[in-house]
Amino acid sequence: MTAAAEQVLCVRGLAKSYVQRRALTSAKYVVHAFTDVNLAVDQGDTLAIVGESGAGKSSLARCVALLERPDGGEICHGGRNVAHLTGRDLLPFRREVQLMFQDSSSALNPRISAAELIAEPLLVQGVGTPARRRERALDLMRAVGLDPESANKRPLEFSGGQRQRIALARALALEPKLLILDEALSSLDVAHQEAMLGLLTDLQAEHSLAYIHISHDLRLVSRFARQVAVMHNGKIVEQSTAEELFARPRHPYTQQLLDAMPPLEVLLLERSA
Amino acid sequence: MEPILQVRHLTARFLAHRGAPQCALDDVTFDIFSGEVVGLMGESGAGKTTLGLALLGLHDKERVALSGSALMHGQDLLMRNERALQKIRGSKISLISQEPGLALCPVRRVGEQIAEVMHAHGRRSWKECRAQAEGWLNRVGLEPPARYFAAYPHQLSGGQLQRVVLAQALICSPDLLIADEPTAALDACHQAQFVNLLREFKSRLGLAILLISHTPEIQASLADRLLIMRAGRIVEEGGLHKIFHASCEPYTRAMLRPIPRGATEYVEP
Repeated sequence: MTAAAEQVLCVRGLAKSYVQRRALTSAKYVVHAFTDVNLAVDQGDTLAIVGESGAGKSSLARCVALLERPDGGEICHGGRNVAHLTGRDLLPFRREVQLMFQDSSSALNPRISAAELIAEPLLVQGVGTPARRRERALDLMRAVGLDPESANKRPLEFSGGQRQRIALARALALEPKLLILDEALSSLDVAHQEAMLGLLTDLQAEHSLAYIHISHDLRLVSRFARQVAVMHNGKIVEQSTAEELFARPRHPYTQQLLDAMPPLEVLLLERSA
Repeated sequence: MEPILQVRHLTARFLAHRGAPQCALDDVTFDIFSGEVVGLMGESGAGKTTLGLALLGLHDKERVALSGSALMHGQDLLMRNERALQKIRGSKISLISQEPGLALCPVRRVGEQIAEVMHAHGRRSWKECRAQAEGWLNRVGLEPPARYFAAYPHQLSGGQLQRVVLAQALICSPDLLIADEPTAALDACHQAQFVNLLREFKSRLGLAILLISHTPEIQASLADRLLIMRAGRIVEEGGLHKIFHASCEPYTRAMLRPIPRGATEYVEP
């Protein structure tokens, strides 16, 4: 019972397909983004989902966060299936599961200020008064390492790294239990990635926040995740702890992914020959 | 042997509307020899891309003040006018960048976009340029070439588009290719394939490459020499093995952290 209580989110047999039309003939055909996906995330845990582009990672993220409705399967949250909920019934789920995207410049409304952006989720959920919301936004800016002085600047006046921090502050505004990071660190350079990783790790320790980290960058995943799921052609082909996966990949696709770039020592040895 | 490119004391300042100009390149000096791959590493904001664009004269002269020199075949690239630079770009020095999708026109067939590079630079007939473009599609591994020739950019994957852009860059047999994070947008498998392709052209065509990438594995598989850049300055320079095995700079060591393998290497640094 205790083990089940600690689970933030559990996904069973999730599937999603899209109907496309062929160019010229307009004939319909179905693309299966992913099928039969099973995942579970515990409180304070980090699950990484890796795979090449087109594997269905982002579609999965959008379905798990219920930005899109899955075709089949269950998304269990707080002991019940939320996959079919709509409108107001979804508000409690939205409060606890938040999403962060790769491209912060298109994820943030360019016409409102940083403080308004960060406070917007509180407004949507009807939390607090305007003054309290602004105060909370400034606190969040401090928490993610932004200067509250720049609260009235618009997103495009910030650098890419700072914008990603605004997106993080916004995602944290409702004190979620689970944060889904869809390539959220991929567009940052090494130094900013390091800083964000540090920040995310601290937040996790402080609030026992859980992460689902979607990425194609194995280096990043190896530094951050405890559990890793490998996705290939819309299926999860292997799932284990990060240590286990990097040391003993079992599925041929995982091996291929790890071997695509030979280890640095091997490369250097080849070059000295 | 004479270097094909000699960069001396290259400095670039971004002129701001208010406040002091930002120094993006600070006294950068290096050589590139024929058939050599020079790797340029550094975090973003270090000036890597600024350097690549400066060599091609692609900076807005109103906004960026350049000084120093960049000699190619005895002529200073920084002193050439726009007309002269147009003849150099794509035929003597080519550039491929991170986002191949942005480099191509979305409403024209990719084959035509490869052929037009050659057409713009020479007095060859369109028919001949088309034939050459098909040949290059074949050489970058897009087979059957006739089918890829007629494709539009949105019909191809990121890895295929990067090959198209490479064909564009190489069709006029340039002396130098500036590759600015060419594999950053590709996933692991396509990265390795693209690196192999570059390696093949390096040995077959004797192509010199200025390889801008912060991925140590990519530099280790291609570069002969490395330049490490920080805040507009080259902080360390040396042969591949010297930098990888004997660098004492903490900044360089941080840049070279590899993808971990095996349980023993899974430790938070």
